[in-house]
Amino acid sequence: MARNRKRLTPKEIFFDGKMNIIWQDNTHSIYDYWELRTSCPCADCVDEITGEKTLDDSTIDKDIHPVQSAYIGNYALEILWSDNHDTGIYTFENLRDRYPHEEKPVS
Amino acid sequence: MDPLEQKIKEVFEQIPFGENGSNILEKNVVYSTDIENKKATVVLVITEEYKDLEGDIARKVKEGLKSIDGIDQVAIDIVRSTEEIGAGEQPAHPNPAPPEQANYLENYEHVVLVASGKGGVGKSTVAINLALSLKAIGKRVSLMDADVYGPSIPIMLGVRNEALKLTGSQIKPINKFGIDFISVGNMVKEDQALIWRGPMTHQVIQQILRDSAWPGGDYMIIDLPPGTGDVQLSISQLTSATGAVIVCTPQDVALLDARKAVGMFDKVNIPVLGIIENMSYFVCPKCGAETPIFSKGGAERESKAQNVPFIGRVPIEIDIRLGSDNGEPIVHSMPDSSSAKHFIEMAKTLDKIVQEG
Repeated sequence: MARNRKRLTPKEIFFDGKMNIIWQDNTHSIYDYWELRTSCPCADCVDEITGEKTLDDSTIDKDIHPVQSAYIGNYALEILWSDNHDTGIYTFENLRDRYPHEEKPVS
Repeated sequence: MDPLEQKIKEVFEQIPFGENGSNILEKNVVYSTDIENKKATVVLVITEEYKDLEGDIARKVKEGLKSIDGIDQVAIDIVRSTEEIGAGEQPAHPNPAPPEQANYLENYEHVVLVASGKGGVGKSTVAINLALSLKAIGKRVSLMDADVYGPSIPIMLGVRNEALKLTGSQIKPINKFGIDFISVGNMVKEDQALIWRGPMTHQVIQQILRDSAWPGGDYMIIDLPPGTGDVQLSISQLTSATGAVIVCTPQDVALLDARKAVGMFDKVNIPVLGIIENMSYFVCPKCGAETPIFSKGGAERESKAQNVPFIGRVPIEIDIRLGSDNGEPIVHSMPDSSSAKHFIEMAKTLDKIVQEG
């Protein structure tokens, strides 16, 4: 079957002050809310053509936190943030390989 | 400042604290005041030094606030320093619930997409016959024609002029040969070209997924338009697909596009369940000789290169074409033909791949 899907498929996602993803390859990734919000890839936060970031991080409250979230098909997560921003599609590929996070094996 | 806030401020200003006629507001004794449902909660910072005064101040605050119209109850919290505030407390916001599964077609065990990189490879013919074959091996199957630009399933199932009906407020799938299906072809006039931008196709796909009385079952087969466009993306976002089957013909151009289709499904994390080679070889209806019109074995080689299973091959046969044009798919009309048997075998292979996950 196609490559390494377990790496990019969550087994479980939960929030406890950080966002936690347990991947099917038994890795636990931990994301800081503020870092995740400022990584938002949507067209409001990143220039669609140049790929340049247009979001000014200093406009994001340090206390930013997710209010609600939903899976998008098999490949991404959408998050409604406490600043009412909800247009970002966080692909599992980017969550695993691009956005800042801590990673540890599941104990 | 709103009137209530103004009145509260006046109350605080009348409670003396410190020297020179200063008050508790000026001296930052009042740390915070919250009003909720006519109940005021006041946090006062009174240092060790002024500890003896706290009873008196608390009483004055309580009486003062209670005299305001709009406040019935007063709760007072006294701390020794601002550092005590919030210590050991969690941030004021609760943790959100785990993400929701907002996908449609949840009443199907498996959602299988039939896709191709380019048009004209016989994708719809394969989708229909695969659906009927899964039905023939005992599965409960529905079929959705998501090819909004060239819906051909109504013709192939012999319901080309049948309009969709509503059941309550939902679209009622048409039942033919034991399969429930919905096609955009049954929603618009046949010769009407659909010139839709992305958001419109997304809406139509969403409507078919969400607002239809799908009966549920083992398999939902979705016939996608060719290529890697809006509809593919909508389906990838709105359903939790088990996987995709790629249909292609053996020539290089078709294989190249098939490779792109594999790449797209990788991007949206939908497993490619396998590749089916259509128009694999021509079977002469007179002598039965097999001619590899579009060369041979390309799809099987490609599936090896892509590391995805090869599900099977379908020959070019006049009966398959006639079956599709007459609305009598070959698996239904000629179940004993060699082509029908090919399809049944592929359905079994696909079912095995899906069951093994």
